[in-house]
Amino acid sequence: MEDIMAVNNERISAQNAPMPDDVKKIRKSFPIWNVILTVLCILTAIMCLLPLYVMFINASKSTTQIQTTVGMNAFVPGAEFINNLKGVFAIEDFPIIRSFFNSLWLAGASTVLCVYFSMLTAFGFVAYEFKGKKFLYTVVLVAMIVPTQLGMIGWYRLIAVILGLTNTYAGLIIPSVAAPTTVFFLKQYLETTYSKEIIEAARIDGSQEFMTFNRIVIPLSIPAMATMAIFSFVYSWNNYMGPLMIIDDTNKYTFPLLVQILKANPKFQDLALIYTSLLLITLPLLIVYLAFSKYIVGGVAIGGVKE
Amino acid sequence: MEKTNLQNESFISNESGFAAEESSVANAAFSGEDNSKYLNKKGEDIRLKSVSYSKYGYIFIAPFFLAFIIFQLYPIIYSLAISLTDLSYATDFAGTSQFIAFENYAFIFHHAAFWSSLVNTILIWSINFVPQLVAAYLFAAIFSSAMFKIKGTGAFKVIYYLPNIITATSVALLFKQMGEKSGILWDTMKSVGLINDAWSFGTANPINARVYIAFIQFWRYFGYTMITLVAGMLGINPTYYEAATIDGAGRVKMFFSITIPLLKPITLYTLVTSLVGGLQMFEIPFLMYDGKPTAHNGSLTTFTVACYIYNLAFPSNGEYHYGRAGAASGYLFIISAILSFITFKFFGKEAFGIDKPDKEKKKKLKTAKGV
Repeated sequence: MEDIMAVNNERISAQNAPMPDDVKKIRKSFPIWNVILTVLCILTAIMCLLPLYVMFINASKSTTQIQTTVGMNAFVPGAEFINNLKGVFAIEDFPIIRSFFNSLWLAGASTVLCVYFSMLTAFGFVAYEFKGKKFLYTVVLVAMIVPTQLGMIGWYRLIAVILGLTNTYAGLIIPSVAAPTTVFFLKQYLETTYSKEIIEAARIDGSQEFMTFNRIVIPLSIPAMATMAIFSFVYSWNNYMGPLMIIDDTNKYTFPLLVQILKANPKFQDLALIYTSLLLITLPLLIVYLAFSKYIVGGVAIGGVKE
Repeated sequence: MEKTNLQNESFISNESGFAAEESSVANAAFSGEDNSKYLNKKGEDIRLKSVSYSKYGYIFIAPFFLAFIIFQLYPIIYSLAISLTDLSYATDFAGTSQFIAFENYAFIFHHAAFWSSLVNTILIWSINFVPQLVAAYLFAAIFSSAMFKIKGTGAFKVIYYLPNIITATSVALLFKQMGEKSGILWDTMKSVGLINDAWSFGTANPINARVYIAFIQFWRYFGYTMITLVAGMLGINPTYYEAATIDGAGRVKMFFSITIPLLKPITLYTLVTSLVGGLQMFEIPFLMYDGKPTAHNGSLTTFTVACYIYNLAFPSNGEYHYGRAGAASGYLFIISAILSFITFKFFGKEAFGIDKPDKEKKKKLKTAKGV
């Protein structure tokens, strides 16, 4: 990842270094453009953040305050956050802490399976020559595009009726082994970094292929795998339709299903509690994102950069 | 990066130390022989070449394909197969269902709700995608341009991508609350004078709810599209621009005659993934507007295809029509297949890196090997 960023940075500086005359001219004569574009960027950033800001400030107000404050006053934070927090934890049949751990387990296990097996598949495609390779890779690419919801009923039958995995996470975790998009991105990455010499050196030293993969290929690919891990984690964390179909035990609810309780439960007309719950549900993702934003923003680029 | 390399080197040396005992057995077999007779013309050891590693290729990709066949291919085939039967809440999974050929497809074809859900989905997707692409291009151009120096580009990218990671269900509920009467968005728009008391984001008005959902989709995805485009723009070889500058081309002309044509594959990739993703749009309309045809006096303005299928398969009244839902999935499959086919037919090579071995490329490879 840092490699790619470094390359990108070099490219940027390469573009900047011999500054053409017209660029200099434009910079001199139109500093106003910089101001206009900066303002545009800031306004767009506000648009992106405003709904989240609203969530934060409304979580710090009482329901009456949320309903009565209008105009610019509505954007000023209140002082009821602790009370709201106590309120959320006091609600019956709203297992927010349990759901957090459910989501964490579901997303964590899915991520490990998804990234490990996608890496294995990508390495299989990059490092070995075998019959039907091109066809099988085309299958991966097609699988990437075909909507998963096509198999909604078949998937439900498989998990709930054939395998009897209703109210378990196995039916949601094991399918993560096959993640076409992750395979695609990791293969793109491996193609630029894979070195045949290292693999052959390992072979000469007597390393088995799996050992080579686990001890050499994986450590070398940590940056790309980290990026894909974050994507996979966010995807599993946000998965709604899967759990919706096979989980109906409230104690097994994940965060996205919990939001459904918020919406459906008539007891739950307390706006302050809705916003506070939403904040608690969103916060773990926000923390993960801000901690790893460098990997995420760079990671979207892995698949995009083409020579 | 240097640090990682060092770590890896130590990894390798550990590895060879660990494996020394095993390999010494193999070495013993070779020792005392004239190694030169095992070398081919290029000086490569043919004993290494003669070991076939191709089986490892199959072993390594096997888990993926096993899981793929069980959890993705089987469900799709099953859904398509039951679309030819009358499987429903009445016949159940017990096995009393009958083969009825294309009756379900005919039913869906003549079901007005299906077509209106398809129109809704495509409408909402278009209202969102066109501005999304324009905005993404605009910001990608600003962020990768040498002409404008905007400070904090990295921070802007992080902020623009942020909405994409927020759980769709939370987003739906958040925007639902904000858009309701006395919600913060409704209030603010009213106090500014944009709307009057009677105005609502509800489904009663054929435009408002669709535009609202389209805006949410825009809000969620434009950062993603923008970052993809930035990556593409930074990947363009700067010599193109240098050559154009020498030819006296202006910045705007360069953007339209170099940047946009070279970004065609990425743009098409974005278009197809967004369209196929858009056809599956579910959480936002489902949670914001209940996603049920009966929810708002028969008004279907935000009823998407995915909601339609979900309501045929798992309606709240328990009258499950799996066969019909399968047929609706079948139509969705046909649409997606056509889209995928078009992509692969015309843009497969550029957008997905599938090599079609053409003469020019082989030549290049040969010269590369020669060097």
